[in-house]
Parts: sequence; structure tokens; C-alpha cells
Amino acid sequence: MRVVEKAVCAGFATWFVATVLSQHPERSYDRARKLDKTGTGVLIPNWRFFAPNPAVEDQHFLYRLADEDQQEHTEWRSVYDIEPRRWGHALWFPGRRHEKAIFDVASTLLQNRASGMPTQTRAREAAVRLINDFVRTRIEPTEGYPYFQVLLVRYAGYDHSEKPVYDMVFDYTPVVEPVEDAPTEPTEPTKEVAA
Amino acid sequence: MSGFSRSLAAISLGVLGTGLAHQAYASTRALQAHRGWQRHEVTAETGNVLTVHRREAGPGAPELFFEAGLMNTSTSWLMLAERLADDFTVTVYDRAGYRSSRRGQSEPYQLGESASDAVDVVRALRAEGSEVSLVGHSLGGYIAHRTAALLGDLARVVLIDPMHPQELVASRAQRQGSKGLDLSLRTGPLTVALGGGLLMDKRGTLRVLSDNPYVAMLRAELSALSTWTTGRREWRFAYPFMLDGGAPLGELDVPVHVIGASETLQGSTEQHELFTSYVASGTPAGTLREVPGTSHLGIVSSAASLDAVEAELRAVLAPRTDAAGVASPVPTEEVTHDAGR
Repeated sequence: MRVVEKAVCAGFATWFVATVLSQHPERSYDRARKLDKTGTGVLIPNWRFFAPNPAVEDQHFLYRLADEDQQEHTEWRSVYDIEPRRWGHALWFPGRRHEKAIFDVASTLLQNRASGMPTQTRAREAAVRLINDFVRTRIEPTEGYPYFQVLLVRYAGYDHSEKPVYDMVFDYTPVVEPVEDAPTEPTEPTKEVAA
Repeated sequence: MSGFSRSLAAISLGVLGTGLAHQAYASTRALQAHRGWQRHEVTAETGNVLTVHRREAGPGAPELFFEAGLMNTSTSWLMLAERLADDFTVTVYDRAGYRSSRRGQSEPYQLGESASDAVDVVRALRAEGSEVSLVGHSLGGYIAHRTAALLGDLARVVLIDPMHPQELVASRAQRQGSKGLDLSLRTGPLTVALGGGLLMDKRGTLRVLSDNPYVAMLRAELSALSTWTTGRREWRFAYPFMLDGGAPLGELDVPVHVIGASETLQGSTEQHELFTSYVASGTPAGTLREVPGTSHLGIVSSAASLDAVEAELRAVLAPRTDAAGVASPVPTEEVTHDAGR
């Protein structure tokens, strides 16, 4: 019985130490987090709460349509609107998942852009593909404009004195997805926009 | 004391002990000399004592002096330098604080100190009348450029994916990225001192370097305390310096060649302009080249891009076939130079 008791204590102590060690503000010290084989972060929770740099802006994706020569464009249009918060959202707000997904994808695009790590390059390519597919489902087509282009903007939303920050524009993409057997090559966003 | 408390204390001490042992091992390993290279020690005018490694190609061979980037050491150049060692006399060294190089300067650090030290290294070791080129990567690129302005009498300067003093003002992407690096360098030294190097997930970095024959040493240097404390010292000056717009590039009377990593050049539209300004700071023979499929770190340390980078380097270095000779393995030896204190 004493052996079982000691093993349980050791198990909980190991779990506690692994959890504490996994709260370093720099994410590159996350090796202990690999002990959580579920891959969900359930066993080693993240108590950092976005420290040390909590998000204070929303990410917005805008798009515009372009003609065949990619010389004429429509105005920039919003892909989706951030829903104004209500008290009831403290209890029930499934739409927040949607905004969180947008934020996570945008973060993937913006973080470590010049790192050159193969995993991060692949993550950025996947993020670009995901955003292009997402925007494509929400486009209001206009005749004579077969391409669209996405713009990533950061904006506080609640404080209109803050200027939006234009982070990047994507390459032009067909409004109608080309039908091919092989999956299409992802396009990396290659341009930045001056504020 | 409860069973849980005892277990917690024992496991905490065990983890701390393992981390400290790992840190001690990494720091000790980072002091090792490079096999097959002559080892020199240069005492610079600043008081810094610099460890230099050199392979001589033969009398009259052109010489290359390599300057490593932030948080990088002479080890980062070994693979590329050894490829060139048959045709060029190659010299790699560690800035004060990295590996076994010691800092003796009592004044606060500024980049001019590193440029001054590099001048002393070149003057102490270059053969009489030899043709000398400086090669720098990242922060080492900017230091090499400043060194060239102080040194004179060079054949050329080759900057491999160099840091530009105005890059944080010109490029929002670089400015955003610098925040992450700042956090790493603010928290890194204390974390590593307490053994946190063991917690570092190095797989991403090491995947880029996986084919590098010196990957074990590079891995150890990532956990060495000297790498982090010296990197933080350099960054503490370089970061506000770059946020403030840096300083205008000095005009050089030699060609400046820039070899950029494709990911850097494609990651921000301003980068091309920044690299072009480097080329324009030298004589008209300078060039800007891009190596496809390379990243900022991988361009000097990844075996996958070694052939392409070597080809670009050889293209900008004037061939001296008459001086080429096969360098025989040289036993490690130690030579001491004094820059005149």
C-alpha cells in the first residue's frame, strides 16, 4: 500500500513540475509539454494567458476583386465582421471560436516569417491556403473580375483613434478554384503594405 | 512533510540538477578548439582576448576572414570555410564572450568594439601582401562592413544575408520578428543559467542544420551560458540602435557583394532595397545575389544549400588558381598575438 501511495505522490509531483516548467513565457522552452502525448494540451495546461504579450487587436481579412490583367480592382471588402460583445456572451458565445480561429491563422502568418524553419514554412503555406479557401466561400462575385486578393489588417475595433495596421497582401488567386486532380500549390504572401 | 511534498522536493531538485549538469556540459563543450585548425589567441586593443582558428592554403593564397552573426560562433562557419580551405586561407574567430574568447573591455558594449576587435584579428594574422576579403553573416555582416571601413586595404566584402541597421525602421515584418527575439534574449540567460537549456525544444533549429557535420557542437552552443549572455549584451545595444534607425552605412572603396537568402528576400519587399543599399555603399563591381531555397540561418549552416552558397561565394571571390594548393591537415596549435596594448 505504501508503494502505491509513493507512486501516486511521485506521479502527481512529476505532473506538477512538468506543468510549472511549461509556463515559461518563451515558447521555445516547451519541451516538457511534449510529455502530453494526447497532443491536446489537456494534460499539461497552459496557464500563460497569452503572457507576456496579450492580444489587444483583432485580425481582419479584407479582399478585393481584380480583372484579368490584375490592373483594375474593386474596393476592399470585409470578409466578416467582429460581433460586438454582449453580457450574454460571458455565458454562451460559440461565435468566438470563429474569431479565435481567424486570430490563430493570422498569427501563424505573422510570426517568425523569416525563420526559415521547414515546419513554420509549411504552417504558413497551409494558413494561406486556408484563408484563401475561406475567403472564396464568402466572395460576392462581380463579372469581369476573375481574381481576388486578400489583405490582412490589425485593428483595435473599439478605439477608433487607433490607426489600422496593414500587415500583408496575398498574391492574386482565382475566384473559381481551378479543378485539378493534384492539390494546388499554396501561394505565400510576399508583399507588405505600408501603413 | 507529506508524501507529495517530499516527492515534489525530490523531483524539483532532480530536474534542477539535471539542467545544471546539462548547462555545465554544454558550456564546457563550447570551449573546445576546432580540430584540424590552427588555434591562435589575439589580444585586441580593447582588452578583449579573442580565440581565432585558421587554416592556411599555402603561400600567396587569398585570405577570407569570417564574422559570425548574433548568437552564432566560429562553429557556424566551419562547414563552409572547410569547403573553401583548399583555395583560400580561411580564418574564423569568436567575438568577445562567445566560446573561449574573453571580454576585457570595461566600457559598455557597442558594435564598434566588435569592429575594432575584428580589425585587430585581421592585422594580427594576415600574411604580408595577401589579398584579404571579409565575409559576414547576419549581425556579423554589419560588423564586417564597419570593419572594412576601419581596415582599408581589402579586396572585397561579402555579406551573407546581413542585418541592416535600418531594417527595423524599414520593415514591419522585421520589427515584429524582433519582438520575439528580444523576449528570447531577455529571458534566455537566466533560464539557461538555471539549466533551462534542457527544456529548449531545439528540433526546429536543428532540422535546418541536421546535415551539418558540426551539429553536435552547434547544439551544445545553444545551451551554453556564454552564448546567451554574450548574445544579450550585443542585442541590448543593437536593438535600440536599430529601432532608432541605426546609422548610415559608411562608404567603402571596395566592392560589396550581398548574398541573400530567398526567404529573407521574399519575406519583405523592403529587404531588397536594404541589401541594394549595402551594394551601393561599395564600388560599382558589387553585386546582389539570391540563393533559392535558403533561410537566414540555413544559408551558412545547412548542408542542403552548401553547394549553392559555395558557388555564389566563389563567383564573387576572384579566383587565384596560381595560389591554390591542397591544405594538409594541421594539428591544433596555439599562437599568441598582441594588438599593441
